[in-house]
Amino acid sequence: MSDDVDRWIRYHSEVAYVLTSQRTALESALIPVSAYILVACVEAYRRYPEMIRTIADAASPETLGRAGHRLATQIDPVHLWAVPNFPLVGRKVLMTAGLVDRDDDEQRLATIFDFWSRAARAYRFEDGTHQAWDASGAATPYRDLVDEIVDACAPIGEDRVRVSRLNALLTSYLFLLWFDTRSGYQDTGPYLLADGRVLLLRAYNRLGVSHFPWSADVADAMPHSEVLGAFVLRDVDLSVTDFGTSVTRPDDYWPHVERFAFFDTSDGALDVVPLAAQDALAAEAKRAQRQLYRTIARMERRAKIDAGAYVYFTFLRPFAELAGVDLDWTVPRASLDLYPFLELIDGSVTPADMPEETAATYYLPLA
Amino acid sequence: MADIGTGTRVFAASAVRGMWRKLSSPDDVLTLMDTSAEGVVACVADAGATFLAPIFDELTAVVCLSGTPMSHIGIVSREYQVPCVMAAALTAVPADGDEVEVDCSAEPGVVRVTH
Repeated sequence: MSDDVDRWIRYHSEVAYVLTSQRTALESALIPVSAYILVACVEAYRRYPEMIRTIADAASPETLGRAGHRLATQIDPVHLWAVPNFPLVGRKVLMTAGLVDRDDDEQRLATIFDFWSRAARAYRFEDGTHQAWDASGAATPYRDLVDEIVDACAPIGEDRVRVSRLNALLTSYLFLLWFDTRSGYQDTGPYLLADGRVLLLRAYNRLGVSHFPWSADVADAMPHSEVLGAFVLRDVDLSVTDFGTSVTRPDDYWPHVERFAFFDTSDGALDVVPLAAQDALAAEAKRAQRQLYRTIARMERRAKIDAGAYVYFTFLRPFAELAGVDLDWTVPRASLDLYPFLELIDGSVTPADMPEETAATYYLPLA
Repeated sequence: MADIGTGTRVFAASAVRGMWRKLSSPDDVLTLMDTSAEGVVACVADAGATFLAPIFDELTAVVCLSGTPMSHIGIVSREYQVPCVMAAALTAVPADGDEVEVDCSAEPGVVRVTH
């Protein structure tokens, strides 16, 4: 078992090192992102193994991975990526503080890696890969829906500005609703079309009232809860990362969008959102965003940390919901010993303050 | 005009001009949200996506002092089509209200004062 666990640690160390190097800074003057990540990831290391065992007892990892081929399940690249990486980040923090129990470290990681690897392989149609990383940046879970989606797409014509504005408003609103995580929207692709064009699909997740407590006050008038954006691109080299973010060449893909559609996927089907309804959605996203910003700006730092940690910790929640198990998502619960140190984390730590890391040492092997 | 800094552009865009505003706290953003952020070139320290959220669509450009095009603020600027320079290194800091130019027509992106 040790060899397998160390093999997966090395694998995730390399991927996470590169992805986080590309992303670099993630702090926000509105939200203490680094502090809440620390809380959530420590909680994940200490609590995910038991929660995963409960989930896997109710539904196989393969069943849950394949569920990501259906719309609006939130079984997607970043939620899968989080299953091993959040605990590994928590372990990294706890190792630095000398708080990892070496006697059960291996078993914790073995449980997590077994669940993740089986779910990830199933999500990727058992093609031998586990992530977009292994496949030159390709993740195409909705491949069976491509024909239906493309048939519903309309020429963008004179609507380009309006379409790009709706997309931007939804993306920006979801970053805020999800406390500066990019999991509120998820890109998949490239879906290669026969005529040489590519299809980019963008899922806008949980726009309305959800289990996020702050959504109740700001999102109750949102006309659509789950939306899928479809963009047919010409002359664009498209890939996606395991954060669910598209990378395009050229960098600005918007002039290359030829056809588009927005679908309401709240009930798991593709229901086209008409143009007038798109305008209403944009207006409501703008209004909700302004209201939510005021709410968050008024929150105390501790409340922001707790809220952000909840968003991160519940990345496992879609798997539990699909498995039909009811788990305790309370945060903080297993990280209270770290709260005295959170005041020290204000985002001002620079790479120069940190030990030099490499792809091989981002996550350390078993002792 | 005089160059005062360079950084990594998020995407290729013609030069734009606007009024420099260093934004440091949510109150700074709320002030613009309640008035207008039209014509503003926002300078921010951190690369999170949320800080500028309610005014992003009104901004002329963003100058971020950290991060990369793959940072959250870079992603949002791409989607809003708002020119953005990341990890900008400035040799001089304009005063709030000064007119500046953000030129993303070539790599690296350039920040200039216009007087």
